[in-house]
Amino acid sequence: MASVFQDWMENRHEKVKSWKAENGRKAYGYLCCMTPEEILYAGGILPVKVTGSGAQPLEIVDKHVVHYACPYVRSMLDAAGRGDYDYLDGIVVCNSCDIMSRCEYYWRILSPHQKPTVLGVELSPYVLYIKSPEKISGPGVHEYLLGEFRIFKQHIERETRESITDKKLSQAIEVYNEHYDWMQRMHALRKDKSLKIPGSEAFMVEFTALQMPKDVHNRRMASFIKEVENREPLSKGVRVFLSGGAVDQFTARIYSVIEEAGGNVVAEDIGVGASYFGHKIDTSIPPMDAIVNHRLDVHCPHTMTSDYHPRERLDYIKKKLEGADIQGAIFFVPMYCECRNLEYPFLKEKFKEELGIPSLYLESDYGQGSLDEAVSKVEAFIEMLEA
Amino acid sequence: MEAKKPKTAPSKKSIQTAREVWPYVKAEYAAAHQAKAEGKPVVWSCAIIPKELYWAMDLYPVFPEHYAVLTGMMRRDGTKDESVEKEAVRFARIAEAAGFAGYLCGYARSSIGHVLTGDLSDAPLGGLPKPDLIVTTSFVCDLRGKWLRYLAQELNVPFYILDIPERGCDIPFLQPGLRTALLPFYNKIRRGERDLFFSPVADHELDYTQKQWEELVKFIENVTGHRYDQDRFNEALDLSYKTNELRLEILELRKAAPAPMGVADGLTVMYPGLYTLGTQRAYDFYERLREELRDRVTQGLGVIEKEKFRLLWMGLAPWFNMSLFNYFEKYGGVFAFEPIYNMVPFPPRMPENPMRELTIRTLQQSGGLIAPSMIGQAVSTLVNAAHEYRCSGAVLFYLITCRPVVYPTVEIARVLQEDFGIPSVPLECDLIDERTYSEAQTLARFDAFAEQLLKRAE
Amino acid sequence: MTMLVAGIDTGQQSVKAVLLEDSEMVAHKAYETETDSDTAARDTLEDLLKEVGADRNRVKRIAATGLGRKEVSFAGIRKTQETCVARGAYFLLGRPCTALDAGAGGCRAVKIGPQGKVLEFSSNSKCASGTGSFLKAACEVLQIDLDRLDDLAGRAEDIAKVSTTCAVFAESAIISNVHYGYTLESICAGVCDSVASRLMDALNRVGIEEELFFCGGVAKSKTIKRMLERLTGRPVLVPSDSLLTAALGAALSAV
Repeated sequence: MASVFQDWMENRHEKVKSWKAENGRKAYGYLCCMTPEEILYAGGILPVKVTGSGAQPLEIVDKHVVHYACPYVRSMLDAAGRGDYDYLDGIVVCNSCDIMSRCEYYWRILSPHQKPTVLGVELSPYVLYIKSPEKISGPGVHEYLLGEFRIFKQHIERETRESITDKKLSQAIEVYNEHYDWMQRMHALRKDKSLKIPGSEAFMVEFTALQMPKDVHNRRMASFIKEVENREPLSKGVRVFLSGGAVDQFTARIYSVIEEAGGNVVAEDIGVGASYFGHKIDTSIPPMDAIVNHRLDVHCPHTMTSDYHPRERLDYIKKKLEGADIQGAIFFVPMYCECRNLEYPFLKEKFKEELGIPSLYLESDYGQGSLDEAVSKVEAFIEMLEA
Repeated sequence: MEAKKPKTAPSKKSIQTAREVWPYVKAEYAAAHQAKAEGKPVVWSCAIIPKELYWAMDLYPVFPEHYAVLTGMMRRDGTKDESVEKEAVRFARIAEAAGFAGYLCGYARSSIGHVLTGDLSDAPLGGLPKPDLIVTTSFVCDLRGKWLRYLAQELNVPFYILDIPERGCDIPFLQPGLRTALLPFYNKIRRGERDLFFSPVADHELDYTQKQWEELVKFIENVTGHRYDQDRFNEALDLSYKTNELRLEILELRKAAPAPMGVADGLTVMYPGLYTLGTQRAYDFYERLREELRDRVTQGLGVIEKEKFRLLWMGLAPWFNMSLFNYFEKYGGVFAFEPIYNMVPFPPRMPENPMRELTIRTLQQSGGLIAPSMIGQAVSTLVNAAHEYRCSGAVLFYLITCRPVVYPTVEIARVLQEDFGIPSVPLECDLIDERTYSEAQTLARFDAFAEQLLKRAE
Repeated sequence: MTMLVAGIDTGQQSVKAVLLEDSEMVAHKAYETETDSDTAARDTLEDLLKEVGADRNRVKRIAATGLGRKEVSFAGIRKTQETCVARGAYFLLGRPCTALDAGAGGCRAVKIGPQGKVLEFSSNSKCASGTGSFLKAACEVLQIDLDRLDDLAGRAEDIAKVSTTCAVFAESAIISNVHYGYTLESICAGVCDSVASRLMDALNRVGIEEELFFCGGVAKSKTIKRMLERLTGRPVLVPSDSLLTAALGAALSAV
C-alpha cells in the first residue's frame, strides 16, 4: 500500500496543524475543485480540502438544516460546528451546487470567526464565496470567472498583506502542473492491462494531494511511482468505473467494498482531484487567465456547456475511459444529490448503447449503513459481470 | 378494494378575478397547441426566466413546470373518480422506474415521466405540444437546468441554459438606486450569529448576464430563423413594467385588515404574471384585479369577516390539495400573504438599452420574482413579510423534494421564533406527488397550531 | 452412492436449506431462528442429513447465500441472493422471468435470462419498507400476528394509506391511522399496500418483460400477491414453498 501517504491519510488534521506551526503560515479549507488553489498556494496559504467526518449523530447541524439535503454537506457543517476545522484560517465556498453554495451562510453561523472590518466591509472574510458559473463555455464566461477570481485574489492579498504577483502565480502553476503530471502517470498505469495499483490506493494518493502541500506530495510521488512500476501485477479482477459523490476518507471504503467483491476501480469520476483535471494549466498565457481556463474545463455533474445538443458529460467520460477496458460502471450517488441522479438514467442508457457496459446504482447516505448495504449489491453486480 | 385517499380538493376563492384564471390557463394551452398547428416555434421554458424575448421573437412558450402543477391536480382523462391516481403520480412512477430518484422535485418527475410515456398528448388538457427548442436557467435551482436538459436529450431538440450564478448569502439585491431599510432585526445581529450582507452587483456579473441574454437571442435566431426586434422587445418590456407596477399596488392593498385577498387567491392569480408577463392580457388581468381589490378594501371586505389571526405562507404550494389554504378559516384564521410568485420593484425602463435593463432585472433576484434563493434572501424575505402583513404565525412548507426552498426553513423557523416570537408549523410533503402527504399528521398539526394562535390572540 | 450438494440461505431471522442429489431436491428445511448464522446453518444441515440418512462425507459441496452467508464457516461457495434467486427461479420455472424475492431483510427484483443468468437487478435492504421486517413491525404496533394481518387485509373494503417513504414514518402513520378511526382491516390493507408499493418500485426499476415469479417469506401473503397482480396487470407465480428459492439456487451453484 502507499505508505508514503499514509500519515496524511490518517492524521490530516494534526499534519496541517503541525505544518502551520512549523512554517508560520496559514491554511484555508475549500469545498470544491473549482476553487483556484493555485492562488492560495501563490499567497503562501495551504489549500486543504474539507470533508465530512463520518460521525453520527449530527446533533449540531440538525438544529439548522433539514434532513433531506446532502448528507455529506451536513456532515461537513456538523464538523465545523463541533470545531473540528477551527485550525483553518479561512474557508472557500463555490457555487458548486444548490447545497454547497449555501454553506457560506451555515459555515458562518456554525463556526463564527470575527474578522476585521473597514466601515462594516470585511476585507478578508473568514468564509469566502466564489460565484462560480454553471456554464463552462460560451461568450463572457471567461471574463466572468476572471472577475470572480480577481476579487478572491484580492481577499487573499489582504489576508496576507502580500501581493500575489504573476511571477508567484507562475511558480505555483509549475508546482501544480507537476502534480497533474504525476496524476496522469498514475492514471495511465491504472489503465494498463496488468494493473498494479488498487483503486483504494489510488484514491489515497489523490486524496492526500488535496490535504498536503503539493510540492511535498510531488516529491513523494517520485518514489511511489518507482515502487509501483517494480510491483507484480494484481490478480485479475473485474475492471470497474466508479462515478460518485461525497467520496472522502470515510466513504473511500467503497473502493475496498469493490475490491473485496472481486472488482477493481481503474477509473473514476468522483469530485476529487484528477476526476476533472485531465490536463495541465497552460503556461503560454497570463497565469490568471490560465487558471480560469483550467477551471472552465471541469466537466462535473453540475457544469453545463453552450452546446445545442449537450452530451458533454458522456463524451468527457468516454474519453477518460479510452483504453481502460471497463467491464461495468458503479454509480455511488449521495442521497438528495440532484445533479448526479438526474444524469444517471442518460449515462446508464448510453453506457449500455455506446460502451456495452452495465451499470449499478448505489445510494450513499454518507454513513456506514449504506456502505454495508453496498456490499451485497456490489457482490451481486460483480458476480453478474463475471458470469 | 379501494384506496382510501386523503381528501384533496381545490381551494375556495374569495376574489372574482381569481375565478378568471382557470379559463385564462386553458386558453394558454389551447393557444400553444394552435401555435404548433400553425407552425410557430414552441419553446419549452421555465417560470424563472423573464418571457419578453419570446413574445418579441414570436415564439410560443410552454412551461413543463406549470404543466406539472396541472398533473398534480388532475386525473387521467379528467375523471373525478378518486380511485384513479392523479397524473403526477402516474408520471412520477414512470420516471422513478427509469432511475430518477423519488427525492427529486415532483415537477421534474412528473414532467420526465410524461415525456417518457412517448405520447405527449395523453395527459391533461390534451398534453403539451412538442417543443422546437428548450430554454431554461441555472438560477434558483440546479434541477431545472438538468431536468430540461434531459428532456432536450430525450426529445432531441436544441437546448439553451441562461446562466445566472447564485449570489451568496446576501439579502436581496433589490432595485438599484433605491435604499433598503435596515431589517427589523439588524439590532439583534450579533456578528457571526445572524450574518446578512448586501453586496452591489459587480461589472463582470452584469456583463456576463447580458452576454447570456445576447447568446440566447443568437440561439433563438439560429434555431428558428426569427430575428430580434428591439421595438417589439421594448413593447413587451413596457407592458411588463406597467403590469409589475400594478402588482406592486396589489401587494400594498393586501396589507389591509381584513385581508381582502388570501393565499388561496394569491397562488391562483400569480399565473398571468408568472407565465405571461409582457403581454396585454396579463396587464388587463391585473388591472381588473387591482380594481376589485381597491373596491374590497374600500368596503372592508375580507376573506373572512372576523380575523382572529393572520398567517404567512412560506414556500411553493401543495398543488394537489389547495383546500389547505382554507383550513384555518373555521378557526378565524386567514392566510394573509405568500411571498412566492410576487414581484419585486423593477429597475426604471431603459428603452435605448433594453438588454441592459433586463440584465439588471435578471440579477435582481430571479428576474424580479420573489423566489427561493439563497439563505439570507429567504430569511429576510420572510421576516419582512411577517411584519408588513402583520402575521402572528407562519406555515412553512417543508418541501421534501425542493431543496432551495426547504433548506432555509429550519433557520427561518428559528429566526421567527427566537427573534420575533412568531411561531410556525411545518407542512411536510411534495409539491404534486400526493403519495407523500399524510392527511392525519398534517391536520393534527394544523389543529394544534390554530389552538396555540387562538390562545395568544386572547 | 451419489454425492449431495447443499444450499443454505441464512437470513436475519431464519435459515433455509436444501439438499440436492442429481439436481433433484431430496430434502429441505426452513426454520425461524435467533442463533448466529454459522450455528444455525450447521444445525440445519445436520437435520437435513438426518432426514435422508446420510453423513457429511456424502456432501460434495456446500454453498451459502443470504445476509449471513459469510458467517457460514464451512461453506465452500458463497453467492449473493440475486444470483441464487435467479438460478432457483429459473430451475423451478424452466424459462426466463423476472423474480421478486422479499424476505425479512430486504427485497430484490432480478431480471433472469437464459440459463438463469442475471441480466439486471434492483435490491433494497436498507429500508425496512417492502420487507418482512416492516410487516413484523406493523404487527407489533397493531398487536396481531402475520397470518391475521394478511387475513384482515384480505377482507378490507378500502385501504388506509400509509406513507411509503420510510418505515419509521410509516409506523407513526399507522398509529395516526388508528387514532383517525380507520378500521383494523383497512389499516392492515394499508400496511400490505405499502409493502406492495415498495416491491413495485424494485420491479419497475428492472422492468417486467417475462412472467413474474414471487418468492421469499413475504410471498406467503395472499393479499400482497393479489395487490401485485392488480398493479402489474399480470398473474404472479408463487412456488409451493416460497421460502426455498434462494437456498435452491445456492445448491444449484454448487452442482
